[in-house]
Amino acid sequence: MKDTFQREKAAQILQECISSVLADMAFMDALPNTSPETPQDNKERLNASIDILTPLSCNLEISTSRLLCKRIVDILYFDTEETIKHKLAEDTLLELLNIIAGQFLSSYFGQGADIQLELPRLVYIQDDRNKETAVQVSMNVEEELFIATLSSVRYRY
Amino acid sequence: MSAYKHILIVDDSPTSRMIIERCVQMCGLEPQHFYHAENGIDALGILSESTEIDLIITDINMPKMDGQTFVRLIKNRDETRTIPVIITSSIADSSFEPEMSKLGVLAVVKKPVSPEKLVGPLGVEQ
Repeated sequence: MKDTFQREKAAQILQECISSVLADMAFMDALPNTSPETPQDNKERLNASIDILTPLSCNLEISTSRLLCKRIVDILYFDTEETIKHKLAEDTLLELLNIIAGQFLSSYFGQGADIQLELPRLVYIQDDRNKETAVQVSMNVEEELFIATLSSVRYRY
Repeated sequence: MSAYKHILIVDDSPTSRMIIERCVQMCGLEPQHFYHAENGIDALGILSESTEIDLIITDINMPKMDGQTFVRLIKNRDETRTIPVIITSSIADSSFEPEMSKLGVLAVVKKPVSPEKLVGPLGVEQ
């Protein structure tokens, strides 16, 4: 059986998952971005990626500013020394991605779906050559851009 | 008074381990010691050195040895089979849950972990 990937449904669920996870983990509001702003080149961004194995074969990537990651770290690690917090921004982004990916797939496919994820990883060099973007959502998280991109969607059957 | 004094947290994310530790404390538990492991292999090493661990909280998706394999191993060993286990996962109602339930896992808690989600499995009065 070959299902049709429903992009609008996926985009909505992805937005909801991002909002929910950031609210629950970091007490931050994430709203759909209505500004035409694109990521500024002079703002350092962190990118993380996770490969999804089943029931879709695809990749989910999130991108946001290091500044936002640092704010999240400040909230999560409020009683931790600054020198230790400095190293945690990247890991925090990875964990956010892991949770967002899991919630997105659970919500999209529903109860009992066989979902398998790879481990999340940081992305230092963007390579879009073989990627086909299926869904991209842009969120405003406390005036920082938070972008999630689902690409190269294939069904396993 | 907390029943769990020595808790092993297994997760490759230091952020996640910190969140879990904090949530356990916010549930009112006062363990004497938290042990941290990044994966199932490290966790087995800690268990081989310490006989005091009385609760394990483990993630599923980890490098080197995932949580499912780790739980299967410890539930098949005499020295560790009775240690209560709570699993954390970013995936709801996953296909591994029936097997984990048969192995006697206390609960599967969906991430992000919160004190409210741990209160029941930890047996803490609200």
